[in-house]
Amino acid sequence: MSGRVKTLVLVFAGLAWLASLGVGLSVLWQYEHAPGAVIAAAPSSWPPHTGIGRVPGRATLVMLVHPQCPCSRASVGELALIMARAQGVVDAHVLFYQPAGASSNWHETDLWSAAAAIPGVDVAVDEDGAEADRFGVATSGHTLLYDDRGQLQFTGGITASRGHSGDNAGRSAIVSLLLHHAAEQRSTSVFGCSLLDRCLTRCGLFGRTLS
Amino acid sequence: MTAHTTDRLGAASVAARTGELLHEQQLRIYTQTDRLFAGLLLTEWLAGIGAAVWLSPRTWMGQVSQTHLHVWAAVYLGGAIAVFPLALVLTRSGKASTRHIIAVAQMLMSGLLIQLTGGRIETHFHVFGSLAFLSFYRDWRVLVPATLIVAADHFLRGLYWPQSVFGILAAGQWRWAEHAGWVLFEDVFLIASCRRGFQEMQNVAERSAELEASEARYRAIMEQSAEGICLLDAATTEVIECNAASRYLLGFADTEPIDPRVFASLELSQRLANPVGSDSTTHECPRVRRDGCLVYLSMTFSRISYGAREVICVVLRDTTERQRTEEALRHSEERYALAALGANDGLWDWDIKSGNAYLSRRWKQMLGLDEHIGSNAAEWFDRIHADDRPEFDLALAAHLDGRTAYFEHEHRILHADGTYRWVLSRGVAVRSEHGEPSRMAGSQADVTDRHVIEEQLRHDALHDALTSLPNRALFSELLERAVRRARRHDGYSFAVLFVDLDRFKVINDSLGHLIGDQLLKGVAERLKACLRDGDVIARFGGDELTILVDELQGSDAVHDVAIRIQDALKTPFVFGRHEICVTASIGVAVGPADYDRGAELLRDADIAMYQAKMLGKNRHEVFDVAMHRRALARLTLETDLRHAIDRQEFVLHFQPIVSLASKAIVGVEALVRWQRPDGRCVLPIEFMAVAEETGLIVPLGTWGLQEACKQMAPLQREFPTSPPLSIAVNVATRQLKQPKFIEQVASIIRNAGLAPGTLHLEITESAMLDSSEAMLTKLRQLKELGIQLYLDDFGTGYSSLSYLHRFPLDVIKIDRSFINRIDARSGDDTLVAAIVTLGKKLGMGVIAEGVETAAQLRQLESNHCQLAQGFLFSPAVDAAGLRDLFRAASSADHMVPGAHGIRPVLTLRPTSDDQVAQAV
Repeated sequence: MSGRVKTLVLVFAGLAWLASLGVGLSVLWQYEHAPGAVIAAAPSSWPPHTGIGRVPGRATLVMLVHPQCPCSRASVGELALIMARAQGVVDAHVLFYQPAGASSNWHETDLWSAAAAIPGVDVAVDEDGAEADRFGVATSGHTLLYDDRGQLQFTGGITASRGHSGDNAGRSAIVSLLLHHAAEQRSTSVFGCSLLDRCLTRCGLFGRTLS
Repeated sequence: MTAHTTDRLGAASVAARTGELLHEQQLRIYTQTDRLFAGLLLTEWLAGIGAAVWLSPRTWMGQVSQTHLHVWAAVYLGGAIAVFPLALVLTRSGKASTRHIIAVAQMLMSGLLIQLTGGRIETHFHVFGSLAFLSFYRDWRVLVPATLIVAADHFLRGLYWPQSVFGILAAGQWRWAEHAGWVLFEDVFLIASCRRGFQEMQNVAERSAELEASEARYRAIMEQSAEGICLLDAATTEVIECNAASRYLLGFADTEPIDPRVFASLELSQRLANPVGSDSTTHECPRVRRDGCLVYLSMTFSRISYGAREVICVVLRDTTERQRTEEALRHSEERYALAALGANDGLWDWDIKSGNAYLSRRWKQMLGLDEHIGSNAAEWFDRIHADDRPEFDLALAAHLDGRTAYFEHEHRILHADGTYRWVLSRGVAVRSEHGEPSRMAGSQADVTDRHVIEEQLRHDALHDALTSLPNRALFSELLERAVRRARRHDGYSFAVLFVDLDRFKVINDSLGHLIGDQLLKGVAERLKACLRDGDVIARFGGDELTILVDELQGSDAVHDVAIRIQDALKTPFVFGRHEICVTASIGVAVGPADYDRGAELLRDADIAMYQAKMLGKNRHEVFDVAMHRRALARLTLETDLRHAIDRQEFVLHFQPIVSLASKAIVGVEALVRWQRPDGRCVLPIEFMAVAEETGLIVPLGTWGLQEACKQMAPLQREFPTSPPLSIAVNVATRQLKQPKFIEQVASIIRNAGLAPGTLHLEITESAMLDSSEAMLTKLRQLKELGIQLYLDDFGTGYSSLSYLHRFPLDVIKIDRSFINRIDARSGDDTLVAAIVTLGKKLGMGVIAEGVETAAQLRQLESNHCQLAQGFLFSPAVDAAGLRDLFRAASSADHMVPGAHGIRPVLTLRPTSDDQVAQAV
């Protein structure tokens, strides 16, 4: 095979390779940045029937997490950063989804341990996702912030993409709200696993909406 | 080729090699880094899979889970990112395209890992780390695609997820600038680092190339060196390195390791014991070279630093030629020394410019000089004899000027004892390139002995060894000098005396040569005493002495000298029990007269001497013109005689021999006649003496004998008598003494067909003088051939009556001189009668010769002489005349007076005169 032909073959192979990588990375990118399902709006005020106790005059943060969701690991990590910035200012509750019929320790994962280890964070079990329903959360890592009067200030995710730690608009908004009582952004997308068995919105590899 | 050109070429080759090394280094780095990244990508891929499986293995929907996309991404995407570069590394490692692909793949893998690990890996750390790793290539161009990937990533992030790039807390634009600045900073840093690394590589390559070139030069020098070079480890003496020459010299093959034991020597031990920088030592030893030749090697050991260790550097040189040269030089010097010693010559070496001279011990010994004489050439030159010095200087100058090839001169030189020695000096000059002589060296040989010998030889060449008298050559030279002097000075006169000892041969032969020599010496002494101081006596040869009477004072003076000589010889010489009386015949020639040459005087003196001999010896004769004429005539006669023999000018005449009783011819005597071309008939008496002296008598006599027999034989047959006619032939004593004479006579008789017993040979009384046994034997042998022997001319020579007993003679022939006296009425007829009676008593026949008258005949008849011949009966006639005579004689039966007196008869039938027949 002559050198010129080899070069042409090499160039073609390289381009094909790049193209295939581009496609793959694009798919991964899309997956990473595909927000979780939203089944209902978050209540604008503290739900009265929730089992989470709110201390009047203090802000309350609630995060609902699927204990198996790897993506929520980043959310828990971001929560730790929020609590570190706003410790004493907010009461944080992390509710771990426990499906009905699951074993009693089904929720006791490293996420549970990580969340429980955050100072100021109270972890609890959300039996069968009742609280998730109350707060209108369907995606693991969904975080809600209620002010000291019980008014919803923020709702959404606190990671930039699925399972990705690092600066993000959600964390920045919550911190800003807690410290400065103001934020440019009050809601963000949530990137995480579905808390629901049925996939109502985007799910799967290609984000098909299933019912 | 100039050094500059060489440098340029060298620099060009170094540059080229630098490029090669750089390329090799780069290729090596590229390849290694390719492999490193291949491994890294593979590891990252696996790490990604592991991270995905560990961190986000499944994604959940309530209680339902499925494999997380990260896992798929890690496996497939990571694999895709890793596999292609991996394939390129395996097939195209080191290529630019490979590393560019790797750069892209690494950045993509880095991004993938960041995503898969959910931000656990700090993005910029991973990116910058990847870029830093890419700088391992030291090729800044590799950073370009990597940076482009980063730029693309940031661009896309900037579009879709700006917070991940710019952050939340800082202003986007400034963050962007800062971020861009950081990327640029790192890129610049990395590019600078790559370039710096590349430059370092280039420097290293250049240094390596230079080192290689330097090593190549030194390697070439080492390998091409004719000398062997070996490096031995100073600690272990193992051979570290060696060149081809060393292998060859030591006899090892190219691939064969050199056994360090070949270097084992005291010198090596010394070097091992001493530190670096100490003096080198040399060891010499024989060795068999690879080609089998035995060579001598010089091994020089020196201890040097060789990098981090110390080595012994061994330099091997083939000193065989030097050894041979030294050996040859040693032999040459020994040879020269031995030759000088053997020649026993002194040696000298003269520095012409400074005047100093080296004079060897032998040179000084030769002259009896002390060892410690000066070292100046004057020590030599000043000792040269004053008479020889000018010639010496001339010879020396001739050679120094280049006119002669070498210097050689014999001269006398002063010995320490005050005498002069003859020496032969030889030498040759050493010249500069301009031909200027600067030095001269040579030898000196003592030739004194040779000179003495030469003087002796010169003396011997000019003097007679026996008598020490001047010899013929010197006398001739002195005589010539006298002749020349006579030409120059009027009134100067001289004479030459030719002295021949009479009967010296008899004395020499009878008493022996020893006595003869003593006699000659004695004669020489006596003759010397007869001469004046200026006169010269020389031995001319044999028993001939010549005398040069110088400054002759009158013609009588020479007579006086001659008489003195003869008087001096009168006293007998006594040698032991031998007393010898000797006389001399002296011939005198007086100069200068008309003589031009000394040889003429000698010739004339010799002629005069012969005259003296002929006149009876023991006398002196002075040469005169008549003598010369006679001598000339004799010489002419001798010459003519020789020619006559060659030209066969001789004829035989025959004279009958007649029986006085019957007057019958009983035989003839053959007489030789010389019929000269001018018609003159020469009688034997005129030429026989010359023939006898010159030895021509032998061929003449032989011819005569042959011819006589040849002519007589047919006459015998034609005129048969009883007994047959005889033929008498004269035979000279010289003939008798010829070695083959007997055989010759027998052959002549046989060839001629002569009747047996009819040949009669007449010998003279001089033959009787040789009474040796050989002569007697010959005569007896002749007798055995049937030949009768006549004694001719009885009574005229040195006859001794005892000879008549000793010799087997048959007939005595009375000489004519006795017959001639018969008419004179003297007592001589008594002698004739006595001779006839003697003959009868001895049983010999007697023939009277020269009977010319009737009175003589009557007297002879009365004395009962048997035979006679002479004119009375017939003159000598030639063969034709003889035949006529025989015819006439055979026809007559009584004597009638013939024209000459008595006509003899020839009785063809047997005669009744038995006495005559028996006597004959």
